[in-house]
Amino acid sequence: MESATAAPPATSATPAIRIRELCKVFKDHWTRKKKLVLDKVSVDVRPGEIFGFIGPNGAGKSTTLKIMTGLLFPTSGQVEVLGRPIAEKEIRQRIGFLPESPQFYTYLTGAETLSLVGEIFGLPRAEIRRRTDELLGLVRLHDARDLALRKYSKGMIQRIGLAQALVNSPEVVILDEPMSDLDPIGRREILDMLSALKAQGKTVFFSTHILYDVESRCDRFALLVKGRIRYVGTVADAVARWGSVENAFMDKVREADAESPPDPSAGR
Amino acid sequence: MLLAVARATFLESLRDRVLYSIFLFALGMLLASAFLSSVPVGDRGSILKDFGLAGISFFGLCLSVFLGISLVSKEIERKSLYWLLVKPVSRHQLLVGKYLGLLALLLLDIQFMGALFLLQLRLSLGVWEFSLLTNVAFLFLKFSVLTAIAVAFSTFSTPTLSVLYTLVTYFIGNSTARFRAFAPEYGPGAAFAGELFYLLLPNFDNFDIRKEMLHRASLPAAQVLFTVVYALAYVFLALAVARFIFERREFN
Repeated sequence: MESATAAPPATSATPAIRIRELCKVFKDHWTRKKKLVLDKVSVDVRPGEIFGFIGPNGAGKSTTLKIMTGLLFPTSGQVEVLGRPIAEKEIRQRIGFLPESPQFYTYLTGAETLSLVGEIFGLPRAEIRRRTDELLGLVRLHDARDLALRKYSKGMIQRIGLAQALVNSPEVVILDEPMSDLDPIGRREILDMLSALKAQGKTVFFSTHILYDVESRCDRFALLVKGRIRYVGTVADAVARWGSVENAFMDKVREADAESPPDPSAGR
Repeated sequence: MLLAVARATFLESLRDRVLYSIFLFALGMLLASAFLSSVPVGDRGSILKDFGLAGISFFGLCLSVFLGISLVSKEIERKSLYWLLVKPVSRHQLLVGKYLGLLALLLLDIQFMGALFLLQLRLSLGVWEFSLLTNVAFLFLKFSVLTAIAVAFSTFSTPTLSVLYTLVTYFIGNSTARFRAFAPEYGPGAAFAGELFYLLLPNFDNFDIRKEMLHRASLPAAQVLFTVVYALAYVFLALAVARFIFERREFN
């Protein structure tokens, strides 16, 4: 827990994402008991880094991402992106988001989907066309541009999902399990795109189950187990201490299990 | 921004084969006139008019209820709203944009059915019954209100329950005036309930002008104006309720 409670070293720059003491209690129905899903989660993500967010199933990763993007409201605590609350429209203008197993309008084509996003961002028509062409090329969907999304494979949906998150050239990109549903080639392509985004100075935050991806691509990562942050730090530090991110993961999960036995009902 | 959302909603629903209702309507009208070919022209005209207006009403009801519900609750269930909610579009803009897209679809559908209806009457009776367009326009107003109500229900309940609530509202709304008139006979409690339903729920009888239009070619301007304002007020109210709930809703 030593790294868990300590805030990351202060930098002169405002954190790209700042999560402070985030708590979330779910109340399903008045007859059911309340459930603490996030317990004082604090993480700072620095500008320009690739940050991995890992944890076992039901740890609270998706809940954290949903609060970060305004889909859920925190019970207490705060999230700021680029120094401002996510509820502000101006901030949403500067971020890109890919939900977990994304669902889009199935009867719109790939190009129409990206155009819709461009229009929502208020981009000029010519710019929308240029960005649509550029992004369809980037995610290798140029040939499928006029195909309705219901005819896309899972991997293609994931790629158009990444493209729609980049239409506005966001400064911060938040991705929930971007590598799920992808074959090894697709996974590699998405990872390369994330590295390219970092090279452009953008901040990338993604949750994943694939620890190797964190070890090979992330600057830093946070490990969430049972709603609590168990580690925040650099990949290099974790590897130096545990030998690999996987070992760190297993060690911290065991530590959390020793505190309290696993909750079989955890599934969020 | 609002128009972008409206256009996407319109295209998505249009391509989802919702306008098949027009073909079913046309088929129904053709079958009805074939069956009625031996009936004298006067009776045939009256039956065909009733049948056509009932058909437009039925398909309008289906479109309002099922698309109004798919607009929000089905999208929440499918999670196909999540990616849009994180864009710089406020939740009420998203809701109103989607409602407008659906309204455009409803207008297109009712226009086509109205045109087919007039054509069929012309072929069967030999005259253009343009005055019936007022009835069709009133049906459009009625279903604009019902769609807004469906949207409001779908902001807080499951698709199945939303369909149920909307249909119940529709059927009660079709009889609030009668209920209000008869309720006092059953005691003060029933009278109060009658007044309450009449005040809270839309009175869909206002949009049914079949009887008024039987013996005249047009309606008084005051009645038209009242009905338009009445419909707009209910749409505004239903969307305000929908907005209130939608803005506070969590998406897990």
